[in-house]
Amino acid sequence: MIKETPSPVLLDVGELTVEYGSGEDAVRAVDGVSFQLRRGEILGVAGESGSGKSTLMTAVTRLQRPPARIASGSVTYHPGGSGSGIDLLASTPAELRELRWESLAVVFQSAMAALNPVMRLGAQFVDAIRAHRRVGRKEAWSRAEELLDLVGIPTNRVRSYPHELSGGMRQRATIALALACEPEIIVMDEPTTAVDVVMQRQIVHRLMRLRRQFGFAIVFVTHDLSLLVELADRIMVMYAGRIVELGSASAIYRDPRHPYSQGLRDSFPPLHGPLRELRGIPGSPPDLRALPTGCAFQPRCPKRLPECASTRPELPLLVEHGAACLLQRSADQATVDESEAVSR
Amino acid sequence: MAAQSKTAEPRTVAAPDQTPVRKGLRAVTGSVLAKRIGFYLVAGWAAITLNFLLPRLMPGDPASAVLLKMSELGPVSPQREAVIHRLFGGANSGPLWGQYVAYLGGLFRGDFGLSIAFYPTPVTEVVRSGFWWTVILVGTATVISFGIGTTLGVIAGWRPGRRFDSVASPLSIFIHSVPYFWIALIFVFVFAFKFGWLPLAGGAGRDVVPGFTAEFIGSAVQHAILPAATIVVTSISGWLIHMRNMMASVVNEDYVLLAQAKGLAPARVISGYAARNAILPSISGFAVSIGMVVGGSLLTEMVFNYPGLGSLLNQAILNLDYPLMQGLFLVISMTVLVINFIADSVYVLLDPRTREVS
Repeated sequence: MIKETPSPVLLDVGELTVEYGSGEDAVRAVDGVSFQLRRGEILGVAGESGSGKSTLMTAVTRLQRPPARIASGSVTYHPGGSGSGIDLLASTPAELRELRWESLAVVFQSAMAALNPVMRLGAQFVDAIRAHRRVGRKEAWSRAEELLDLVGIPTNRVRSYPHELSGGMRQRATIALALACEPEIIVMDEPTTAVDVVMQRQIVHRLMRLRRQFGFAIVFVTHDLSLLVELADRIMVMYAGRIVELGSASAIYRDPRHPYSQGLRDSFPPLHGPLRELRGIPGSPPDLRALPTGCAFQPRCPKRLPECASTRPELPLLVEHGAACLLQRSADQATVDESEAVSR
Repeated sequence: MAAQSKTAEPRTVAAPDQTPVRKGLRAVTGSVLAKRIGFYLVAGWAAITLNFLLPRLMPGDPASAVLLKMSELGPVSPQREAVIHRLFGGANSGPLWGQYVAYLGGLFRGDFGLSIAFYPTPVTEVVRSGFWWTVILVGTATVISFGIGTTLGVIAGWRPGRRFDSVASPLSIFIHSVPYFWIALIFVFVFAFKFGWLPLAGGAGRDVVPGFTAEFIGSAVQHAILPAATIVVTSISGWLIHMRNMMASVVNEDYVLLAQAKGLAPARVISGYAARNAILPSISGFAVSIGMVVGGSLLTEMVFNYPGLGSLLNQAILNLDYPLMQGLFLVISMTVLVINFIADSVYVLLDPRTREVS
């Protein structure tokens, strides 16, 4: 089997821990998360509300606000996938400003809230462009028009104010805005949650086309796993601040190995293919201040084993598709035993 | 390219809004302006009419009282008597409707009758003599305190809870709760009486001839410093607290975070995004206090014996000078209306969302 050499790593997140508050009362919203983003790939991050996915993204982009605080870990950006890395957590505000938008752009969930209500749409593009490029006002405005055109917004809208646009237009405008300086990485925090399903589809298709055109990598955060299957190359499922499963989109969709991923998959109707019976996940997201012992999902897990309450499963490293689940470990163990038996 | 055509969106959805946006916007702005002008005309008319009705609703007969006082001061010509009846009604002044028309006619000629406190100077002249003193003193002080207070509020609210905020905000609340006249008297005592750095009272030196001369202006400025300082010191805190609170909530908005994510310089994030939005409510507050400049300086002018409208109002009340009071009330209410109209128009420029026709 010939394996494609994976694209070089752009963003390397290692053992990142983010806490709200400090000292005894600190709540750990992200707990030792490690992942890599490769050049040009779409990495999906799935999880229900409170799973720490948004906190993780604000920390990775260093946009977290107090009381959120990066307690430990590393975030390294490799420009162009090169060997040399920039430690984002050690960068000064001025160094970060230079990287922002030029290399690392973001799209927020609510486009209405993300656009300055008293500035013309175009001016918000011009601001970003002129902060990084030495171009004249006129040039920057026409660049803004080009960008709007890329996402299918009529160019005369460049002089509109955000409240004069429809919800879908606003959301597409924030995506166009993220493309302004042709960044290598775009972090999108639920960019399609606030729009209807039709607009959601349009945005997803447009995103994939733009990615083909410009080759940026996307970290796409959502709670909608079936959407990620359409869009993402790899998917990372989060629960209670930890990654519980990481693998290729198709593998996670066809064969989710963590019971939580299975539950998440079965709670959304698929965008394509035959309808499945929809099932929710019983119970509610855990209280991060008082996590259950062992596996955080164990009280809600339909396949719970006795030792789940005492042993916290770790995500296996260096595998294509792995889940942080004891069931999985015994399954892996079985495969290993088998292969050992065969080789003997 | 094939993919492009396949995923092209149905443009028909967006088509209705594709009409020339700017043209539409201008039309909308125009009609809003016309509506506003209409509203202010009605409000101005209401103020003028109230000014006409109030003395007529008062128990007794203000006109007779005024005429009695005037005759004490000197002979009253039949012409003057007619003016007083026009302003305040009273016996044998004809039907109300006729009085109203005569009253309006007098207003347009700028005839408010003679002041009693300053008999026989016409009210118009008395009001004019105090108008600029007040507008320049209180107006400048209000603008300065708004400027400083809002700027400090922006700094405090940008990083709430940090060092500057934790000193400035409690201090402001303390100053805000101190009565104005107390601070004013302390200022007079310390800077004018004890150290004699600045004049005690008045608008300009007694021996200086009023006029557009360096000597007069210098003297007027010297006299204005202390009263202006008391106004600034006491009102700065209100602006600071207001702006700080607005700012502290606006910095949590996504558009401020996105501005930071765009890699803009902090000064640009504050001026274009955070403070730019946080200042909107302050603009309305500023308009109200500018409008009150003309009428709201009573305490300052009394403490400093300043020759402005506040002092005039005080004297008018003490002398039961109805013509002067009526003139002052009219000037005060008209200024409030004019300033509010200007502020409303500026607000429309500052906040595009208010341009919609509702």
